[in-house]
Amino acid sequence: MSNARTLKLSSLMTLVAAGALLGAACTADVTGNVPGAGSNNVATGGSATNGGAGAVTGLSDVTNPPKTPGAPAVEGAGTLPLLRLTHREYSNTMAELLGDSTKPGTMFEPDSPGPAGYQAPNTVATETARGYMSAAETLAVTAITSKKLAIPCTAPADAAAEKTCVTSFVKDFGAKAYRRALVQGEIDDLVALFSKAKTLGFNFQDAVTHTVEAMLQSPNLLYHWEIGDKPPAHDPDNAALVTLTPEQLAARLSYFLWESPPDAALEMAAQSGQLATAEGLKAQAVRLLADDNRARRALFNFHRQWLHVDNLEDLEPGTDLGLQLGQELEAFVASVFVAGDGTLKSLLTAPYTFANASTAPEYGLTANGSGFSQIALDPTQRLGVLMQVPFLRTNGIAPPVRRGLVVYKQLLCGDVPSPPLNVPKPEMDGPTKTTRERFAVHAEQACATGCHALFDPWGFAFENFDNVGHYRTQENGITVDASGLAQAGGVVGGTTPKQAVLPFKNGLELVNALAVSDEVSWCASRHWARYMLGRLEGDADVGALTNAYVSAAYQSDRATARPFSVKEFLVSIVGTKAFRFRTPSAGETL
Amino acid sequence: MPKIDQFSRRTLLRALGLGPAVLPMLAIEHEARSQVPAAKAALIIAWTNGWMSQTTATGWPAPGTSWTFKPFQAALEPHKADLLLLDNMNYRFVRDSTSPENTGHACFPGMLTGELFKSPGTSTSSTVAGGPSIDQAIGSSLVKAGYKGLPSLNLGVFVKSTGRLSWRAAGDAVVPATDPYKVFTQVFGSATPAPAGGAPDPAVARARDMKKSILDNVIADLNRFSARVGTEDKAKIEAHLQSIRALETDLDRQMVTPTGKPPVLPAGVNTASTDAFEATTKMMIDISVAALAADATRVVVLQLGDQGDANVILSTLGFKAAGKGDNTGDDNGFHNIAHANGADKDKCDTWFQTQLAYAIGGMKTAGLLDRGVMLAMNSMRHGMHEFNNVPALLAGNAGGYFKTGRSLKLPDNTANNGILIGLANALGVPMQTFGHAAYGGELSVLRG
Repeated sequence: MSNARTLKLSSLMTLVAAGALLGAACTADVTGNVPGAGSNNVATGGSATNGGAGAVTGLSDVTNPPKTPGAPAVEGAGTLPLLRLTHREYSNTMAELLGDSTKPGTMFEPDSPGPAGYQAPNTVATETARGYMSAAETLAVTAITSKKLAIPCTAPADAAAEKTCVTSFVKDFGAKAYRRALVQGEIDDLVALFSKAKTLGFNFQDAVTHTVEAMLQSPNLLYHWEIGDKPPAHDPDNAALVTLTPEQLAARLSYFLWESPPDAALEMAAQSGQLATAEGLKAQAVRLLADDNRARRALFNFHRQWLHVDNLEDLEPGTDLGLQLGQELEAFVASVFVAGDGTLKSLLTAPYTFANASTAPEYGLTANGSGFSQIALDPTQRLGVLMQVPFLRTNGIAPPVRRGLVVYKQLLCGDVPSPPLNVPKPEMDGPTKTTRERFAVHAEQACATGCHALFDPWGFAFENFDNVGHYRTQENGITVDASGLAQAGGVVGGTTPKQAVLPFKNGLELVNALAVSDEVSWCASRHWARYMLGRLEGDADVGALTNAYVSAAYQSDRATARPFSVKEFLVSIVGTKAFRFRTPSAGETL
Repeated sequence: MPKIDQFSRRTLLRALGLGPAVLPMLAIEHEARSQVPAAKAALIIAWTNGWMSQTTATGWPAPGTSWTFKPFQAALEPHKADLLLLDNMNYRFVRDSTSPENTGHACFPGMLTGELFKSPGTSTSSTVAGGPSIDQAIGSSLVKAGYKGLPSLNLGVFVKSTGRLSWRAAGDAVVPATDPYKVFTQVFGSATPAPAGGAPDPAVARARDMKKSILDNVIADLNRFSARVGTEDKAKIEAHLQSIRALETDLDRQMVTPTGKPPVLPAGVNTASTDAFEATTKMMIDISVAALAADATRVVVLQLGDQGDANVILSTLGFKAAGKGDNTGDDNGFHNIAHANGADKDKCDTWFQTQLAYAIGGMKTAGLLDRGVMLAMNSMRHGMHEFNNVPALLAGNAGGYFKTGRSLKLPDNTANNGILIGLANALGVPMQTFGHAAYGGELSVLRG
């Protein structure tokens, strides 16, 4: 590849992916902020076999970006595991469906991240079911009494008229709630439930309310599975794959890019067959990504998980600091990906952020009001999302470890298994050392040779920021050292020589290097794929992943590199087979 | 006295040439024939940040039948004859699981399950247990055998973290109730109790019937789903179905008239505030003891704080929130005090031991030490995260099942499972293994 983006990270990542035994953060955590240990490995051995790895020159495995894009890869599609709505999706869905602004999902037992590192819940535990039940009762009553959810008739003359009215209501509201037309059995059951309520002595409106309660607890609303009783069509090019229904495609698209259900225009596109082609889907993706209010939800949701800007509610209990930092990140990623050029380079090096009166002082600046507006940052101090307070602060405990881990694991897809036993703690805060010096001692002890040497150096690049993200040049009277030599550490036991690959003077140099690194853009692509698929990417997805990556990293001649466009990647990936088709699951009745 | 051999059935089967595959069948047979066991009771109290500090003033009692308590455990002195002290228990599941951190804070989802984690989560607050906890296993067995009370009562004081202690099944966490006033109503005075001997209030019955019909509709939808999806997804739907059935069972139970002598609670305590940590603890202990005394439930799990106690401020001891700190909590929170590992930690530990003594005293008065047992567990030994040499404390003999008045040092690598199994067996819910089977069966030394 003949462009300036080539950074000598390939050799590093090869070593890393070879499976060195690493350790994760060694510090205690009690409020939920230790970055998890876990594998970044690709899922292998999936049931789909139509992956395109062999079709691209130089792509030997998914751990390295395609080096010389040739002909487009052959695309496959993996399975689509049954996932339920995350609690965030549930809240957004209730907002769209019922005009509710109470975010009821925040009251449920929290969702855990799935195996791919992103929330992808698939079970309904008893407490969650109880949460759905109690939320449904409140939501249904509120929506109907406030008339945000309209019943098409007020006082039907007789039982027959009531039934006609309720049947029509159930079909119309159901199509929105279930994101597809209801099947006859479902309509019959809901009308029967209405009748049961009447039999028990509830009046017309209350009986309808109870019917709505049932719909809000239905798996048809709660799971991403908009099929009904339709038999799926097969891919004409590959009989092993089935096509997602138009309703499934609409829902998959809107929950992917909006974190909420389809709007009327998307439903219309589904009904009129526009989603049947890759181009039709991509056109809708472009439209969805231009909707700032909704696209920002999903963009934030991805980035908060990708960059471990998480557990915000634990940050300063009793204050809204966490909420405000979340709003800052959301505004920033929306500005980059909705209004801006949509490149990874902007994400990592843009010299601005968003702040209000209470958060601007974190940057030594001032702003007015509670709304967030764009403020310029001193480019000799801060560039991009990794040098903004939300990232720095939420990764501010044992900062070299946590911040380094994000760079190493989330941006470079380095593999991090569980930490070893008996990890020594770094020296406690003392008045005579810098954070780096304390952690350097830590890094010379037990787990250090095998693990921290791999990710701490990346974290040292952020030494110009204290644990709450304030800029500093000195710590305890000593000039901080943010330079580094990010290196591939050895296997535990220290038998592999350490290999210097990326020297940097400070964090600015590091983020500038990361911003133009193929490894980082490839890794970001893989993370977006995990977020989209709700599982680890597998062999079957590699062809689609490669094609979307190539369209985002190269001009249309597929040879001239360009700054990696995340926006183009997102549009491109929804046009691939990995998005439009699926391999049926074992035991599925088609 | 000859010991009852917990493995006798297996031994018998082996002698008959039958493999373990026959065991589940026999278990079902046993269940069908069984009756509600005699009323026994267990109170499990759990907290974190260690039993004691590492100062020279503290230490765990030596083995034997005549031991000396260090000052922090002085409150336990009057109860010596009722105690069974266990040292050196190992939370092996933490070591053997993939865990977000290998520290005692990671213990909560396995202390009562003894099973490897199902998934680690991103932090100790999102770790998912790999199986049911002992309270749920005991409670559901009792209910299956016809017991009419609550399967278990899960209580907590100032629980802020979502790191859970009790689980109905792998991935199905039980959220502890943290408002003692609500628990009081639930256990001793349902807001709408049925009149004694009379029919339930029609409005209550109607609301209940409606809820059940709605849940029936959800079940019908789930069954439609299940007919269609793949094998793995069917299992997810089945778990959802079980959750719905659990809600239906709860609705039925709400119609049962509450019984028992209620405790007297102080009015107006802001139990959501850390300032009320001590007051709320006392209320919860009183409720626990009264609920067990009334046989309103057979198992209570009471967690004092959560898996970190980042912002637990023991204000009656003179600590005040510093209003600053980092993600490990307030500077004067119990977690940071524990890490400082000094005299302040000893003060806090003394307070926790005093609560145990208070609970033991309450149980004794209610006769619960004879027909029941208290099990106290911490997720670590000291405040420095050690999980492989942790003490535990039993109080009460559960109808002569446990031999008290002893202090034991367990062999290295003794998993917590053996104690949990003992607890179940003592409560008339027989089991040979529980949780991770490789950790072995009942800890027979508990019985003498």
